[in-house]
Amino acid sequence: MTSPVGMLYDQIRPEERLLIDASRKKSLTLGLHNSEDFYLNAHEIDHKEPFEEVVLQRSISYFRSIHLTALLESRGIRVINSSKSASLCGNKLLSTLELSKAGIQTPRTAVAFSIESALRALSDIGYPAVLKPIIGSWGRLVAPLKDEESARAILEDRENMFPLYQVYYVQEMIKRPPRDIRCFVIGRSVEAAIFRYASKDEWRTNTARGGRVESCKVTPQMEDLALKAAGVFGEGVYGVDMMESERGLTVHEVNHTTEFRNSVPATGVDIPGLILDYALEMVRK
Amino acid sequence: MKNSPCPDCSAEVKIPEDAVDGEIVVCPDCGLELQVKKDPAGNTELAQVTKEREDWGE
Repeated sequence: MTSPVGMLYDQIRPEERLLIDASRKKSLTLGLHNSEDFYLNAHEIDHKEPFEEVVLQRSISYFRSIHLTALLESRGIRVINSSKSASLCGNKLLSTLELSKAGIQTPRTAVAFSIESALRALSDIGYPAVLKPIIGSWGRLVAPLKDEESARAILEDRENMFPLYQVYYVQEMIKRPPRDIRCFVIGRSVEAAIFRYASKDEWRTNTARGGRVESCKVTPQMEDLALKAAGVFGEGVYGVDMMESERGLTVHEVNHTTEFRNSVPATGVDIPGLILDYALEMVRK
Repeated sequence: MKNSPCPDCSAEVKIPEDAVDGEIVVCPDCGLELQVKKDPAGNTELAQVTKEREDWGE
């Protein structure tokens, strides 16, 4: 019998290896698809295509992920997460708009398309502030803007980069402890949460930047907020990032291909096993 | 467990039997992260891994 669940990937990183190992423990043969190994016709569906009923999308590349997911969805395959949710979550501006529309507290944000307009937005938001690329992850090119002088210098640098970096998404710098919180939402439950502490000499908490992970007890407020934030993008598997601001919990990001290599040992929660259980539940639906 | 030379320092890198195409392994000598490349015939080689691109992430 063919496997009911597959996984698309670019690289087998620790997360994908944990999913493969978890599938073996469940005696489930996870269909593996390296995104570089095939092509898909946009108009005609080849019925010999090897995809399963439900496919976990684990591509590291945002652009690859959303386009490949859309192609699979055109074949009636359920992809976790959907192309719509990935498109929105992977774009900081679009996700901010969705969260805001749902009444979820996010950092105060403005978007400008020229240096002078961005400086005016920053003067309104106040310094220190943060400049983020609308697409990207792991804290890459997220810059603290301490004053107008440094903001102008950083914005001038961005003028010489790919046009995507000239969509100036600027945000208030939230006063918070040197950590943020990630809640793992799988289906309709918050299964685990971690604190992410910034490493020495670093203000960003991303584990890709050396951030340290500690288990975090999920409070009812965190649970409500994480489920509400994930629900904005449709049921799936998410890492909802929030900060403990002076105004209460503030959501700054919802990740659609969440990483969990450090969170499994920190929390003792079998996140990959739970993701597979959820995928199997989707097969039976 | 198969061995394959590290493309950077030539040290022998062990590739687990269950490694799949795209699996990341680490050279025990130079610490370089490498990607297992398997062709349809089952031949295996190691390639230097891309660490980060502009749209990569979570």
